[in-house]
Amino acid sequence: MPHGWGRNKSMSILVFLIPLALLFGLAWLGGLLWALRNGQFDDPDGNAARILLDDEPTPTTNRKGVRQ
Amino acid sequence: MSTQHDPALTSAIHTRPDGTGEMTLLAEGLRCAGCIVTLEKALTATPGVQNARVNYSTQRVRLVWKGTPTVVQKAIQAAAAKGYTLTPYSPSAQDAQQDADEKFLLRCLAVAAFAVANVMLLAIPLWAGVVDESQRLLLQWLSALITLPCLAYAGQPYFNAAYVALRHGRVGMEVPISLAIILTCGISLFDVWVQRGDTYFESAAMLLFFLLIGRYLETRVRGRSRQAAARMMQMQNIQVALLGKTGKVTLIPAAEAKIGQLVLWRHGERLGVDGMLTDGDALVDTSLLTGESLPRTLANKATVQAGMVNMGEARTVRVTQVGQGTVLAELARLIDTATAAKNNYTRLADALARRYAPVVHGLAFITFVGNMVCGLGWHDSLLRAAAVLLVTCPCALALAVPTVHVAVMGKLLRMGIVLTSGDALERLGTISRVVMDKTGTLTTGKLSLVRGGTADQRHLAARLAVLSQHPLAQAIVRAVGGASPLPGAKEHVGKGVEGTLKGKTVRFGSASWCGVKNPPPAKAGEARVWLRVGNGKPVVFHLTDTLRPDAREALKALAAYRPMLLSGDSTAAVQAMAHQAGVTEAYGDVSPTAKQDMLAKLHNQGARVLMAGDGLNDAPSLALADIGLSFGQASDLAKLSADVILQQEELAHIPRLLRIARQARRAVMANFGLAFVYNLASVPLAMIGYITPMAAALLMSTSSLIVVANAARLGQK
Repeated sequence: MPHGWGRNKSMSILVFLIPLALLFGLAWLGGLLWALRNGQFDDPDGNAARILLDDEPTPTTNRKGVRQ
Repeated sequence: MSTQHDPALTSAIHTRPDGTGEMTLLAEGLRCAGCIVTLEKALTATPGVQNARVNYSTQRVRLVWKGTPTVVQKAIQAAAAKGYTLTPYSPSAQDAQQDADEKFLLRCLAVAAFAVANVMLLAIPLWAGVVDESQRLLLQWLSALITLPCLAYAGQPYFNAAYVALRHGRVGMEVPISLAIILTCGISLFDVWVQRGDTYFESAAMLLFFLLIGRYLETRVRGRSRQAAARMMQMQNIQVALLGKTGKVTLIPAAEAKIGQLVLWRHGERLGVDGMLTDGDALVDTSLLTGESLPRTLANKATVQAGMVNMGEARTVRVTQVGQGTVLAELARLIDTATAAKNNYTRLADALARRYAPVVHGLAFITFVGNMVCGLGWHDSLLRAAAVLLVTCPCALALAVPTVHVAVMGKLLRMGIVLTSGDALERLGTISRVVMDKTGTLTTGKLSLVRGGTADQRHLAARLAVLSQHPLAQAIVRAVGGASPLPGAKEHVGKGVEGTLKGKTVRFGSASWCGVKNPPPAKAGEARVWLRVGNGKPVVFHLTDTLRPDAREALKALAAYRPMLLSGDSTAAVQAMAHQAGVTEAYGDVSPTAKQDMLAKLHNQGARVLMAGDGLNDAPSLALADIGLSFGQASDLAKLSADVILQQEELAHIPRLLRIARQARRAVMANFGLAFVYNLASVPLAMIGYITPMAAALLMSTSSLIVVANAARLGQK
């Protein structure tokens, strides 16, 4: 084991890394919850099929009635 | 289709703030991914439609348009032209609840996943032992901080259910699960506080995560069943033409008609009330009620029922029963009762869970007390008890059934087989006998030309027949493959079609219409229609109901289930068809009540029956049988009462389905077996402390994975 292993000073990087990892995790969770609220999970089978379609018609208004 | 606003349609419309209309419609006929594009294109091409979005998972379409409801009707017609049937749909409160439940479970699953991922990451240095005392404490505190709030949120499905169960004095699977999680987290929190010992936050998190996956899958499987219920509503939103004293006709909802009133029953209209014919014989189509494909003549003063279609001239009907008093409503009630009884079927998993929970509690308690008695001290005894609870946690059990079902149902869906109730698959695996209806099930329900006339004569007949909606006429047109109408020809409703060719009068239709005075009696199950050119000899065409092309093979494959034919049609016709199909047990002239009696008899003999039918008269039997099977083209009520719907009308699917269901049942049993063996081996070890909560969680995850892999095998073949 490298010299100094196990002493606080060489592990001070954890103070930065752990919150960073948690932040990433929370960002992922937030993204998932947003996608859920936005209706991305309402039609898993249909979405799976749509990637394979070549000539999918583009809707003229989206869910909230906004013209696209 | 009338341009009158259909109440079923208007009630399903939701107007948005910007003035556009929005509606959800149930879609039938979506067989593959390509159908999404075809349907969406057909709908968006309709003028007025702004957006059409197909939800392939729930088989629904969301339509947004600007304009009157006529736009919707045109869109529905456009879809029908491509082969898709759309029905307006108002989602019930139950649907909304189902959606909310699924979304909530998914959120819990997401939060649990977040906790598991991060805490397991922190657990690696902890268990590898590469950190010193203060860092260990830091990592443990972090684990606690992440786990506790996350599990408090994500554990709600189990904690709430456990609380409700305990309040009612019951014990379900949720109680030991909640106990395991709370106990493990509790001990770990205590250990972190007093700064000694190992923590097991990641074990608790992993347990909850796997359990939630199982629960989510199960909820999705159960949710598929409710579509059919919506169509029931459409049946009841029918209108009748009330005949006032002055001869004025007003359209009112059928339910508002009063007994004794006079109703005008027009050509092509489906009657919305029970009544009595007052002004002459009527030609009626009773297929909705009896499944018979041929229209019948009912004499003056005879009873007519809601659901019948007038195939002849308009008639006046005196109302005798309305709304809930009609035969139609009575049938619906019979179905409701039978379906409710069916819902009491205890699923295998639930039956197991009821016995399992007390056993688990007992074991944990014994562990605690036993270890205390051996002088281990309360902390370690509690830890071992927690390990026992973790190890016996029914992850594998909870996953055993839903994973198999999800795998199999996906495969079945690709074959065009829809299971409408969550436990249909389980029941299908126990079927021992198959009973079938004749018309529309064993046969195609459509008449076809058997013999009669030369090719030219048939073609000429078709040129007249194409002007009529009568089933006999349509059969002739089908036999010839289509024909251009004879110019100047006209239909005389109830009699036939008349036209002129090269100066001679040509008539097509009933015997008397074509000048046949005393036609010889028809053979059983055969219908006839005549053609006469000028004063020449009338030509007769013979038509019968045709056996489905794969009927013989399907019945041969079902030989082990001793198939039986039960039909309301005449015994002679049924015997003839049974002989053609290769069925030995066949009964004719069976009324709907008699069908149910036969089912009861079979039940008493200990058989589990699969009943296949398509007519409305079959609906109560479909609901009563262990499994009711119907076809995509069947009457709405038959489909509603059915547990299985075959979208593609292939009889050969029935033996295939039964085979798959048996495989599924074997896989579920194997999964249960695996889960039990694992439990049997690990519980004693946990009791004497050889399995820490960490190891317990790992073992449980492994067994879950094995169970899932076993189920995934089924979805592949």
